[in-house]
Amino acid sequence: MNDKDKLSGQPLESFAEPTAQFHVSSEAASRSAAEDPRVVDAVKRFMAMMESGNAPEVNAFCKEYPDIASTLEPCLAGLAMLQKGFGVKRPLDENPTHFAGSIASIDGSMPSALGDFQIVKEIGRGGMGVVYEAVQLSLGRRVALKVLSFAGALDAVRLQRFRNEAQAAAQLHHTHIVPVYAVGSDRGVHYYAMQLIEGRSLADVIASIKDSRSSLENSSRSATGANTPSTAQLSTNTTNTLTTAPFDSTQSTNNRSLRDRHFKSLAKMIVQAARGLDHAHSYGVVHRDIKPANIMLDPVGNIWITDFGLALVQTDSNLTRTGDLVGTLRYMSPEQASGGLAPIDHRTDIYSLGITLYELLTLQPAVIGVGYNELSNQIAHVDPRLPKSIDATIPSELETITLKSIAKDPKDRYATAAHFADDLQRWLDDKPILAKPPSLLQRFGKWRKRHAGLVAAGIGFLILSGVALLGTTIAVLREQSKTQAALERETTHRIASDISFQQARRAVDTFSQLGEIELANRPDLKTLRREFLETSLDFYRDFIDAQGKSPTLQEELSATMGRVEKLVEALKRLDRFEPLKLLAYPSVQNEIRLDGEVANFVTDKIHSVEAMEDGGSGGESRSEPSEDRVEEFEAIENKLTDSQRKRLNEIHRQTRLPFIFKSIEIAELLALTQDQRKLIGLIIEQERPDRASKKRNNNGRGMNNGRSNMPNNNRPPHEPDFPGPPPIGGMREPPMHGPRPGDSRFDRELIESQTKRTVERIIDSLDDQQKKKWADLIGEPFAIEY
Amino acid sequence: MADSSSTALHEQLKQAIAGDRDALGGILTRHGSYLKMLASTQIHQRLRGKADPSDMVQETFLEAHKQIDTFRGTSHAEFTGWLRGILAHLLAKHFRKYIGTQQRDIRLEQSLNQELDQASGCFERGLVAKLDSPSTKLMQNETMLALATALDALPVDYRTVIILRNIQGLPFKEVALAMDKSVDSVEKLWVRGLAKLKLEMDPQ
Repeated sequence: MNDKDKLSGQPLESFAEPTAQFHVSSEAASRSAAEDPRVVDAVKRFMAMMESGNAPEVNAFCKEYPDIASTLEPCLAGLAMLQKGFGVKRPLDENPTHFAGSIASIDGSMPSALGDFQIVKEIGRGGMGVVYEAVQLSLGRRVALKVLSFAGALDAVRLQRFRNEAQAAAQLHHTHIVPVYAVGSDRGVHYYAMQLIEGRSLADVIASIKDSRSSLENSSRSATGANTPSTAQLSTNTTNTLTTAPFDSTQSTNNRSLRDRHFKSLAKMIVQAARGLDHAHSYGVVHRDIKPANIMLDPVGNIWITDFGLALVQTDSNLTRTGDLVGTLRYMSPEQASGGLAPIDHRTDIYSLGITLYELLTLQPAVIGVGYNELSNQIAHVDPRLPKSIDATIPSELETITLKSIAKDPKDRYATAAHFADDLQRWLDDKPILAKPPSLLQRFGKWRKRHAGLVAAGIGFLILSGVALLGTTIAVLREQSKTQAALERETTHRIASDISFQQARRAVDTFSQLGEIELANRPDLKTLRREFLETSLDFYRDFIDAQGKSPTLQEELSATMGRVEKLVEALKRLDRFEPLKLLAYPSVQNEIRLDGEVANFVTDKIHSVEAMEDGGSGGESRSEPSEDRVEEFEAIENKLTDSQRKRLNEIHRQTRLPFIFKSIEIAELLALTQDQRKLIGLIIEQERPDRASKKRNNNGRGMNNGRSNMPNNNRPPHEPDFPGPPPIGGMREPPMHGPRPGDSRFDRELIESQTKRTVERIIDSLDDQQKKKWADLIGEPFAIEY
Repeated sequence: MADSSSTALHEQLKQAIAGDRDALGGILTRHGSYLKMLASTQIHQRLRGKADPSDMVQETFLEAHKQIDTFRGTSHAEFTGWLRGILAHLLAKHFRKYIGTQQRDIRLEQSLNQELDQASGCFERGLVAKLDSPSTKLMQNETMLALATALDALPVDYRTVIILRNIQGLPFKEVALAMDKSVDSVEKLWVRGLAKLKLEMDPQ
């Protein structure tokens, strides 16, 4: 350590010269000890050994490096301490130095080691991840290492479930179950180490039997091939009893016995697998993903079930990849395919093993289909073709056993995998099997279930034809009464539809009444009222169209509609005059540059309108513009120039922010879409100051006295309505968020900023064209002096 | 070293749980370096150093003082794990502030928690080998704290390389990148750091 100071004084670049990891430079010896690249290499080597779990004692290791041992020793001791405290962290993409050369992870994508396992080569890829051949360093044995590619997507719960399952599976010791050596994770990569089985999966076996058979057919068709090379294909790989010798059923007894042997060898495989499963089941471990690809056949003819404990984690996330999905779905039991509706127990494995047997026998999948829905429908409802209908040489007992194992209802299957194995064994031993072929009645029952529609139709036809015979005889007699019945039916139908029409009508009438009368007293709900009325107008139009035939009804409806229409018109007109009311304020008159004379005229008129309201027609009709007032307003309007009117409108819009966005006028001018309108409503609602903190003022008339500046929930846009209840105040009152006399400055500012933010958000939601249009509609900001 | 101190530590923990603030302070101080190390690994990874690990440790201490009543464990390892949980929570809060809305979900905290556990070696250990008895666990916990303290005392370059390589498990290539040095120089720093660490832990 005393050279540390010396070293740190040097520029770091001096260490940066490239040195091969194992290259021992001759100059190195002359350098100071810690600079010796051999020290670095030795420490790295020791770390690699630690990481693989087979590090020797520090002292023993140091003995290998006698000349640098004294420098090496503290480094290794430090490393060992770190390991003791924090465990081993192995970077996945770093070449372990002690294996340098033996493994080339050229692209860095293949991990060279995981935990105790040194990866040798990739031997397969599947939905679950990549399978590597690897060496377990601590024990020096070869293993199959399955690296779970989905682990990154697993949450803690699923990961824990995987671990539990895998650990349960690791407890299984059976001659037909691939032993799990270890389950672990290394820097977030989860792996599963199993005994390496040299052999092929049943999926491969099926494929190669198929191959050999088709090539056999070809060759026997083309020539009298004494011996087809392809038949040897399988037996070169395996030395088991499985034969793929000539299957040509036209051939003699010799071939017949060959075929028998073939089927027996298949049955033996399934017997072994079933025994393995039974063992697992007896420990409460259900495989859930039995399929040809998960059953291995070793060269001696032994069967090994693999991938116990993986099915549980293999849910949604990685099943979404369609290829894997189909590969797995085909072998799924009906209860699995039902998507969690039915409980899943060990019998799911029996089904899947049965389906595997089916495929071994027939060389085609029992469930054929594309896509999740088709497959799961088939699994749930469609019985696969009878094996013998695919290949007549399949022994009937084998067919019976297969069919029993793949019954849709778990209750109809073998109760245990052992029973399944036993029954197969009985057949192998030429003893009578326990499974019974389905009786005619059962078959009919199944057939009926499958063709429920057809059966119903058939029965229906039978009944009908019987009835028809009877029917014709009395048809004439019935003719008259039939007509009668039809008439009655028609009448009932009409009454019914009449009733529903009346109901609808009543609803709309109520609706429009609400708009016409009730809401008239709520100047603050003017916008809402107009929406009500306009909507009910639409309904009336529909009614008139639909009930075109009845003149009385037409008349009635038209009258109502006319009334509503007039109201809407009046309200629209009122809207038009709304800006004019602002002319009561001198500051507004100044802003739009009214000449002295016109100004005087306008002021007079405005006052006379106010007076009219004060004297007020009062009561219900208050919000309806009377003819006089309309005249007065029109007189004022006529005095204004176009540009004055435009500016007045702009100012008026400014006073009504942000609720002006909800007005029909703006909605039309900006051509707001339905969605935009909704959004605007939402924004206004969201930005509204905290409602809970403010006392409610439900009384529309009392609102001005309430002095609740914050617009509250119940009383949406507080819009001044002409003629507003308090004579002057109502008119003078700045509409929305505007300040009022008596407001504290704070309140005013708060409201202003609130409004500003709301408006900004709304404008943000507009498209460019609308934004431009809006800028034109709103003009320069102007603050009215009240 | 572990034996004498571990009984003392256990005693201290018991007092802290019983409500002794001084005992809690003492025991927290012992965890300071350790938490700082954990915090710095995460801050390094996710924030590129935009926060001070010491601040995170201070906040963790504050929270621990506030929440000690909610601690339900009895063992030292549980206490350490509890502190890690607080740290993970605070880190998650902090990251959200910097990283923004994109990771605003509970998983961030979960994964942080997991990463911190992992950085502490507990995670894998429990998985691969179940050999750890409670007493070896305690020893390990002890060693961990002592190591963290020793690491904290190292010159910053030594500490950084060891944390990145041995605690976070980065390959040297990435360590070099993170430290803006060549692979060779970080490897040399590492070797020297290891020796220095040994010296800190065990001066003989």
